[in-house]
Amino acid sequence: MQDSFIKFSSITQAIKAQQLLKKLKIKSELERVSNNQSYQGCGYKLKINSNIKKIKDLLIKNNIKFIN
Amino acid sequence: MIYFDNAATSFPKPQIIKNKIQDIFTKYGGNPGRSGHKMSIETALMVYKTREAVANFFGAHDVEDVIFCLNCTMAINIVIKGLLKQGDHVVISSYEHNAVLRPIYKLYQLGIITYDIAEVFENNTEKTLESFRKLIKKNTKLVISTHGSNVFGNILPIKEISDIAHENNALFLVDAAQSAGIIDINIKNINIDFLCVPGHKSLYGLSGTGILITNQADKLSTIIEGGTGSVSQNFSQPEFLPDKLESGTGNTIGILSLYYGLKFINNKGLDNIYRHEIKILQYIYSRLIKNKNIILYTEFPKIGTHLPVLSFNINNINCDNIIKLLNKKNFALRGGLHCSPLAHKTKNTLETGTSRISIGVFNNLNQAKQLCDEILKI
Repeated sequence: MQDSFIKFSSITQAIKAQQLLKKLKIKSELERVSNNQSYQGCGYKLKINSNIKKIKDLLIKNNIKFIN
Repeated sequence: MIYFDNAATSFPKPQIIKNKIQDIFTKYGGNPGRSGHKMSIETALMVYKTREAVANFFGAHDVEDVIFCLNCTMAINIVIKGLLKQGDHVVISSYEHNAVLRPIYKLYQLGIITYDIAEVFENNTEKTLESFRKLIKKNTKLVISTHGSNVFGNILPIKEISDIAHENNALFLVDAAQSAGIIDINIKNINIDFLCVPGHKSLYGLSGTGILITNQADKLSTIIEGGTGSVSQNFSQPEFLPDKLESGTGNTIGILSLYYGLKFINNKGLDNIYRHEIKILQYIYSRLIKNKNIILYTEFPKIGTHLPVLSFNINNINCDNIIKLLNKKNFALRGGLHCSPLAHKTKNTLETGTSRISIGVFNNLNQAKQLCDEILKI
């Protein structure tokens, strides 16, 4: 499966997401994004090698905010 | 030096913090939430762990409701200056510290708000609650209560005060400067809208740390704006937490020290800490009360009614001189008004001030005996 990315404005939300995925044994890598229009300047992204739609649904269910 | 000034700041800090400080300096020296290199990310992860530990400790609704500040005073100012608008009314207790009184008074002087002071009766909860009730008005936006007096140690009935505030559609702020890390405080159970806490007292963190916990941040205008490492193209401050209320680089090392402070408390047990400290306080009280020249201002301290804080005076001796004499004998206490003129006004000690003993987890009965021996010699 190809790597996918979920975008976050806030590092706190990004880490919250990463911790949730870690509990579910889903590996992710936290990366900073700078000077990027889609992040309104900067933020963080999680690199995931998993079904991105499922992950996003999980984050929504757990009230973790990400950039769509 | 035998230290009995823990209400000012806790000393010494637990061994775990002394042990971990070197780690913090070497592993977590990056700026969390700013850069993408390994150390910045590792530091951010550690800050998150600390935020989570604080959220669990106080029963916060969400991790991001935990806002790190430079001290409890800053946390209180963020709420008071961020929440209150023209025409709002505030009720505060008669034991509030200047951390509450001064920002309130400033807004009053500017003609923005009005406020009233609810008299607190040490042995009469119902009378205390009635004094809050009768001061609430249609425009009362905020009710503020300290959890316990930093001068006299008496605990206020914050659950009941919270109920009164909410019954009247007001929000409720608790200044837990003296109680956090000693008494269990659960934000959800007590229904606290804004909990303000210092990191450097009974949470055993370094100075320059404070915490605001709130799930009502949407009601706060920001009083400080700046860099947050997020959505940097926006000229406006982010609306999401914690970034909204955390601008600029915080006291990262101080924040991380809180993680280990909480670990210390959880390992020792909050209840054990409280019982230990009250036991020492009861010993001191029992010895001092026997001397007719010593003035005490509260009843015998008990679990649930008092924090480990005791004020006293000696007839015809200025409290500054008492402190100086004890300092010469290697005892660290604080004298004066303790930044709480309201508390002193309540107890009629505004003119004299008091000498204050504030017990910490590392005090013991032998030290208490030595202190009492010296006080009784004065």
